[in-house]
Amino acid sequence: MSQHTPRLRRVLTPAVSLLALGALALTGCTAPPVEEATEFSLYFPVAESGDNPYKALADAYMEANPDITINVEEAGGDTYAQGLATKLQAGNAPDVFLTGPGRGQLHSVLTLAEAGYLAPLDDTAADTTIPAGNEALFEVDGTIYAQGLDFTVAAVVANLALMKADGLDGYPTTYEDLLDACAVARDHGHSFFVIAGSMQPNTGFFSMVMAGDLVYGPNPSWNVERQADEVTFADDEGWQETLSRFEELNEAGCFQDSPEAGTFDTITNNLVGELSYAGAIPSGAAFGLGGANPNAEFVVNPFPAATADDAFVSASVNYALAINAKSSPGVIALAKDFLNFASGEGANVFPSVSGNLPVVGADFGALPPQYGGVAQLLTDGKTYALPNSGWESPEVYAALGTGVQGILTGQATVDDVLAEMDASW
Amino acid sequence: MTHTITPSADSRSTRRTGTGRQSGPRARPKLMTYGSWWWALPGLLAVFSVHYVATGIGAGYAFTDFKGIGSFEWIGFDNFVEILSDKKAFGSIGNTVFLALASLVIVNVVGLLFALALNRGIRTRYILRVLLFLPVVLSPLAVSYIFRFIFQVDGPLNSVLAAVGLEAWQRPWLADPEFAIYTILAVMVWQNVGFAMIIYLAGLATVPHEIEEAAAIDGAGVFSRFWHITLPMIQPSVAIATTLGLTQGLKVFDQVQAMTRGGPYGATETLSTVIYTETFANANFGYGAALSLVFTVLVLAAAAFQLFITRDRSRREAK
Repeated sequence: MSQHTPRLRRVLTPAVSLLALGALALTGCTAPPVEEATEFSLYFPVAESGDNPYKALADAYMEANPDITINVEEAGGDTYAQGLATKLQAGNAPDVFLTGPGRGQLHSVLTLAEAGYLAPLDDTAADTTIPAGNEALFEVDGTIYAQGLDFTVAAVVANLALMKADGLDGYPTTYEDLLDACAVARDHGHSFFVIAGSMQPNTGFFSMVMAGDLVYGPNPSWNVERQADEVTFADDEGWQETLSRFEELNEAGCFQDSPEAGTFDTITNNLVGELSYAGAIPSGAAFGLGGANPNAEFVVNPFPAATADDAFVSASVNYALAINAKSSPGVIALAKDFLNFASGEGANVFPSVSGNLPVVGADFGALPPQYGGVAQLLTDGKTYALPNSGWESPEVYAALGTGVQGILTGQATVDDVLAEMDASW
Repeated sequence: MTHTITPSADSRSTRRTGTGRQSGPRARPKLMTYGSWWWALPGLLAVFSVHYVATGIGAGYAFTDFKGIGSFEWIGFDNFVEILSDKKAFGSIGNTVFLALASLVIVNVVGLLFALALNRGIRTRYILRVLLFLPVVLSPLAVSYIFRFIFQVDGPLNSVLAAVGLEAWQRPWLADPEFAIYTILAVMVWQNVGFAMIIYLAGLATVPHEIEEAAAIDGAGVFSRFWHITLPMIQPSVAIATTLGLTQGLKVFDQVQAMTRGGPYGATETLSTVIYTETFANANFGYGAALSLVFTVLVLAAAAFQLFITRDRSRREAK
C-alpha cells in the first residue's frame, strides 16, 4: 500500500478542497433542469388467476413507447397494502402503484394523500376516469390524487343454463321469487347460492351486494350520514333487513351445505362444477368461470330486490393508480404520461384482461352478453359505489365479514353484528 | 452417598475475591489468560442494537395511536385501557391458554411415552424415532394447510367417517364453534410430539442402566422405577421440554391462521392472531403494539413460573 508523504498531503488537501467547493458553488448557481426519465417502477398485487391486467397495461405502454422501461413489482394480494405502506414510509416506494378509492385501507387514496405520499394529478386526464358522484373518493381539498382503471360491477354471477336445465324460467327478479327458486334448486340437488362463509372478504361482499335495494339505492348518501353520526348500522332498518336475509336464505336452503365453512375454492368448484347456480363475486369473474366451463352461461345480475323496480347494482371504480410524490420530477412527468395512456389509447387494455368494464367511454347499450342482467340498471344509473370505500376503517368491513359467519353458525345475532360495526367505525 | 471435602488452609488462602483477583500471600501467577469481558463488546452491541433497541422502539408504539402510515400522537396508556374492555382480546387469551396448556400436557405425556417405548429394546426403534420426529422438521404452515384440507367439509376425514358408517359424526370441523379449536390442538400435538420425544430420549440416555437393574433386583416394579429413578434423573429434560412447549403453545399462530383464521366468529382467535389482525388487517399499529407488549409479559411470566416449578431441586437437597 502506498502512502503519501506529509508534505504532499499538505499540498493536495487544500487543492482538492478548493476543487470540491468550486464544483459545489457551480452546481448551486444554476437550477437543475428536469431530467427526462426513461424508466419508472410499477407496483401491484399478483393476479388471483389468469393474466395480470397491470402487467398487460405496462406491456402495452412499453410497446407503444419502446424507449421507456417499466420495472414491474408484484406483491401477494394479502400483503400488498402493508408492503406499500412500509415502502412509502421507508422512502423506497415505487413510482406508480395501485390504490383503492376512498379511505379505510392502508393503501386507500385519501389515507395516502392526506399523509402526503401522493402526487397531485390535476394536470392529467384522471378526472375523466372518476364517475360522477364519486369525486370525494379520489380528491382531497379539490385535488385529484388517483386515476381509475376499470369499472367493477359487484353483483350476483349466475349460471342461467343450469337454472333453465332445472326448469326455472330465468334469474329471479324479486326476493320472493328467489326463495321459491332456492326450493327448486334443492329439489334438483343444487343450491341457489354458494358462499365462502369462512372468508370475510366474500361474506362482506355478499352483504354489500344485498344492501343495494335496502340501504344504498334508497339513500346514496348513507355513508356520508354515517360519517356525520346521523345514522348508525344498528338503528338502520335497511341494514337490519340486509343481514336478516342471511338467516332467511340459510333457513330456506339457498346456500350450499355448511355455508359457514365455505372457502373461495368452494365458490369456484360449485360454480364451475354446476353444484350451485350463483355467487356474489366481482363481475369480471363471469368471464373466467365461463372459460372454465363452456357449457355454463354465466351472467351478471343484481341481487333480487323486494320488487323488480327496487333493484340497484353496485358499480364503481375499485382499482386506481397513483404516483409517488417523492419520485423525481422527471419520473413523475413520465408516470403522468403513463396514466394518460391508461385513460386514453390504452383505456381498454386493463379491463379487457380484468373482465370489468372500461372506465372511460363504456357503452352500456353494447355490453358483452355477460352483463345482460345489469345493462339496463347501468344505463338508467341505478347504481351505487361499493359501500366500504366510504367506511371509516377496515375494521368495519372485518366486523361485517366475520359477523356474517357468526350469523350462519348461530354464534351471533343481526343486532350483535351491527353493533360491532358501529363500534368499529 | 455423599462425602465432604474440607478445604485446606492453603486453598482457603488463595480463594478468589469478588473482584476476581487472587488474595492472600501465596497467590499463584496466572499461567494463561482466556480473554477479557470487553472482547464480547461488539457482539453485545450488535445484539443490543438489533434486538433490544428495535424491540424497544416497537414497544414505544404501544403508547401511540399510530395507524400504520402518516403521523401519530402519544396517547399514554389509552391502548392498555382499551384492551381491558376488548372482549375479543380477552376471549383470545382464554383460547391461547387452553391451547398452550392442553398441548403442553398431551405433547409431553405422549412424547415421554414414545421416548420410554423407543429407548431400548425394540429393534426398529431407530426407524420409528425418525418417523415420529419427521413432522417436527416440516413447515407448520404447510402442515396446517394439509390439515385444513383434511378437515374440510368435503375433505378426507368426513369421507372416511361416511365410509365407516359414522355419518352422524360428520361436521364442518373448521367452522364448528365447538370443535374448531380441537382441530388446531390436534395439529399442534401431531407436529410437536416428536420434538418432546427427542428431548426425553436424550434425558433417558443419561440414566444408568445399572441403577434400574439394581432397583428391579430389589423388587421395584416398572412404575416405581420410573417414578423414583427415571423421572428424577430426567428432570432437566422435563424442564426443557415443558418450557419450550409452553412458550410455543402460547405463541401459536401458523396453525390458526392457516386453518381457521380465528373463526368461526372468533372461536379460535389467539393472542397472536388478534395482534396480527389488529396490526396488519385493521391497521391499528398502536393497539397491536400494546397487545404485543401484554403478550410478551404473559409469555415471560408463564415461562418463569414454569421454570420455577420444574427447577432441579436435587442440588439444594444434596447440600
